[in-house]
Amino acid sequence: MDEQILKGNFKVKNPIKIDQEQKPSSFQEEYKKRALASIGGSMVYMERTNLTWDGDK
Amino acid sequence: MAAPQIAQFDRVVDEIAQIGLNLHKNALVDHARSNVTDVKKSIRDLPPLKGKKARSGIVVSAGPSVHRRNSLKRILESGYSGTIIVVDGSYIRSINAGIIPDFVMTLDPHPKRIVRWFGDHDFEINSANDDYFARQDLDIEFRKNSIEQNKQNIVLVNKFGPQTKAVVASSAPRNVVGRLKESGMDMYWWNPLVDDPNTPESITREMYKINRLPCLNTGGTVGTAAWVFAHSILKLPEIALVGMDLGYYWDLPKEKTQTFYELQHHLKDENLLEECFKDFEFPLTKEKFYTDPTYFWYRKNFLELFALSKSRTFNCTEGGTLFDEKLPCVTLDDFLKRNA
Repeated sequence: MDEQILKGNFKVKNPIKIDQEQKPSSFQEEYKKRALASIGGSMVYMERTNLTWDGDK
Repeated sequence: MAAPQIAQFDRVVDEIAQIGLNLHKNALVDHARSNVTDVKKSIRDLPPLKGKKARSGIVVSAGPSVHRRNSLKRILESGYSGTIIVVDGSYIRSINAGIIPDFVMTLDPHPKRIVRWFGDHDFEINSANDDYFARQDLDIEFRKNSIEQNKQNIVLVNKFGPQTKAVVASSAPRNVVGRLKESGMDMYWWNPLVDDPNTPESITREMYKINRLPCLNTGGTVGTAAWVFAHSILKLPEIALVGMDLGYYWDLPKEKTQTFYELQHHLKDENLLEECFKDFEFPLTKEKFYTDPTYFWYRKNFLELFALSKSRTFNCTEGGTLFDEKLPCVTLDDFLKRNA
């Protein structure tokens, strides 16, 4: 679709950047992803017994 | 009808760890791989702190109290000379307030949002159709979403970057790493400790195999990671938490909270939404706050990790939901006087 819109009888000077992550398979999927990105926290938290770890020492 | 409210709230809180795992697990390993060529120094290589810098520290998180309580101005005017660690979301605000932090911490792997905290060269592409910053509650300037302001932030970070050490998680997206490099910040790397490294499918161990970086627990958020860093790596004997609200001021409408529409979508039933907020009374002031499941999860995780430590930490946020019998709340002025 993006390519069809850009078709013409001239060439643009600057290359058009198309952000691949802006092309969700559906709006619903994209919204769901965003929703979970907000609810699910900034990072995984499953380890509850140690503050740090630096390999098997 | 109190019982169903707790049940619904707890049900969402219990789901968050799994949501986070599903959301981040691929990015964690992918980002660790793509960042490995930029890893020159780890947090093991940090030079030891000296003098007053070694005696105490303030962790500045990105809650709304930083603005409402004028915390940064008060720190500046007190002449505090201990260590200052800020999270990415309060870095620009800190510089604008006249405080150049010793450390800035970044963790979140989000490919489009986090870079804004350092000034984003792809501002327009990355902010399209995303109102995350319109609903974040620290720096109201960030809500304006202005192209001009973003340009100024790029200049500001490039100017002051070399004076602050970046404490960068291997999970950071490439655009954040690019901005830190461009600004000339000295970078010290670490891995997020996300699961038990002794389990066969451990993501932590997989990241460690890639880069051999020391791992820090994060409690799910950069503010908690900054406290773990202050306690376990810098070994600061006394730590103050500022801007660690993990909740909302009572006067903020629920529709303006960071997860309102997301919860609405997740629950698929508008009637359940009201049950997803929990009230708290802050002990120092008796002021009322409320929290959503995600902030409550952060709160629970912080208190869990804090209980594992013997840290002398004081919550100087002067509001919010982060308190219990082990974590004392004191005013910021009290802490600053003690550590003058």
